[in-house]
Amino acid sequence: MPYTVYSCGSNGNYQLGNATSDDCSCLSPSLFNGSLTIPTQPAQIVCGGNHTLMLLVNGEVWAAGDNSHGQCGIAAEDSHIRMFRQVPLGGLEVVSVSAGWEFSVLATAHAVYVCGLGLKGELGLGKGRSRSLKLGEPWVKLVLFPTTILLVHSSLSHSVVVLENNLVYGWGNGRRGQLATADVHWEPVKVEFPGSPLTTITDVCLGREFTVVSGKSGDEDMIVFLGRDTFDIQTGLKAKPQHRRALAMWSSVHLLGDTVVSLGNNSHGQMYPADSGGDAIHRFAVGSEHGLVQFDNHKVWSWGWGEHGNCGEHSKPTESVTFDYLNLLHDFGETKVVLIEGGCATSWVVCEISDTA
Amino acid sequence: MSETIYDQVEIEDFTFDPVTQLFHYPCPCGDKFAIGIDDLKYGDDIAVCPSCSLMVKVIFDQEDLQEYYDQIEQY
Ligand SMILES: [Zn+2]
Repeated sequence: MPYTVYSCGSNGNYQLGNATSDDCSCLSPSLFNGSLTIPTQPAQIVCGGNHTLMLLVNGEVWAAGDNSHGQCGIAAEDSHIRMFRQVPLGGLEVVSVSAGWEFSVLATAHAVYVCGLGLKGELGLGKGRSRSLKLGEPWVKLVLFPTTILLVHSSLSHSVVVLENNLVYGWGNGRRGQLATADVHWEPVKVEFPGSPLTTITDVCLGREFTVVSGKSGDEDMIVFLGRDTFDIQTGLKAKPQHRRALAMWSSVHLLGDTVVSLGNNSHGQMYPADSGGDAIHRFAVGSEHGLVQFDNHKVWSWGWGEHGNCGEHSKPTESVTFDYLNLLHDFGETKVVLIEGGCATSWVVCEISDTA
Repeated sequence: MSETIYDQVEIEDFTFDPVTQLFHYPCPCGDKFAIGIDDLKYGDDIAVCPSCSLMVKVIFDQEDLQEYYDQIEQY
């Protein structure tokens, strides 16, 4: 079954992959080598500052946007990938992808690969190694783990991997303590949780200058905050709100349970709107400073900072860049949505296109 | 309310370009906040993004600036 990937928002470096560099407030199809559809379902969409990586369920990786530092993982002479192009992986079986400001990370079952630019250790390749780009070979192997890698996450300038044996390793800019010891980590270090011995890791999310790890200490639920806490997120976490998933914008944390508990920066309506009703949440995603939510498979709602069209057009009479209510980004009618994701002022919706349509 | 400050960023987290004499820091829109070193010296502390309305307050002391002025001299 083919899929269409719709996107809107900030697009100055072709990060929407739709062959233009114009921002748009209306979801429109991203292009795959010129095609409006892709035959395989996207499993993950991750966004750097100005580039986008897409992992498909068959293990293929596609990328678009700013490639001036090789951050799309494609050895191209052109500094921009204007439509999604398949990333050559040389046989790597990728299980998880992540992206930071100007870098990207791939994880296979036991190894991590990086590409792009990182002036503060973001590539993890050793002291002073800030670039990966070698023409024809953009991905560099960073580290091999004896245990299976479950997932990799990145924010602006730090990354973590979670291993099957409940260990967390991280690298990049950790000067605010977001990787435990406050330092720039040019190579992966084990992230320790002093005073909070997590024995099971269930979720990790990364903000611009912090890391939040959810898990258990024995039988007890525990949630650990590491890093800079300008907006007093830790106080809210101390109440240990019940949650199934934790997600982070750049400066806020959103705990998804029966309701949403938002903690952090509310300068532009980033806190999940309180009056959003009691409907059960079906899908939930956040970008740098906005969020997307679904209560069914067909309508996508947005809130937060929407200056670049990433929250769509207002359905209320206001021209504010802040969406402090749930705004209907799009109603796909009968068409089924299978994935939503947020990036740096970008929004992504993947639809399954039925063959009979 | 475009006057709302989005966040605060410490000066050492900016990157400094001795050629343009600008400090830069990533903006959630994909562009970068910028402020000139002389602006900081003469009392301004708000870095703005050329692509959107977001602003950040720069956290610094006047004596922090000297090492960046030294970089301009060396250049
Ligand atoms: Zn901006």
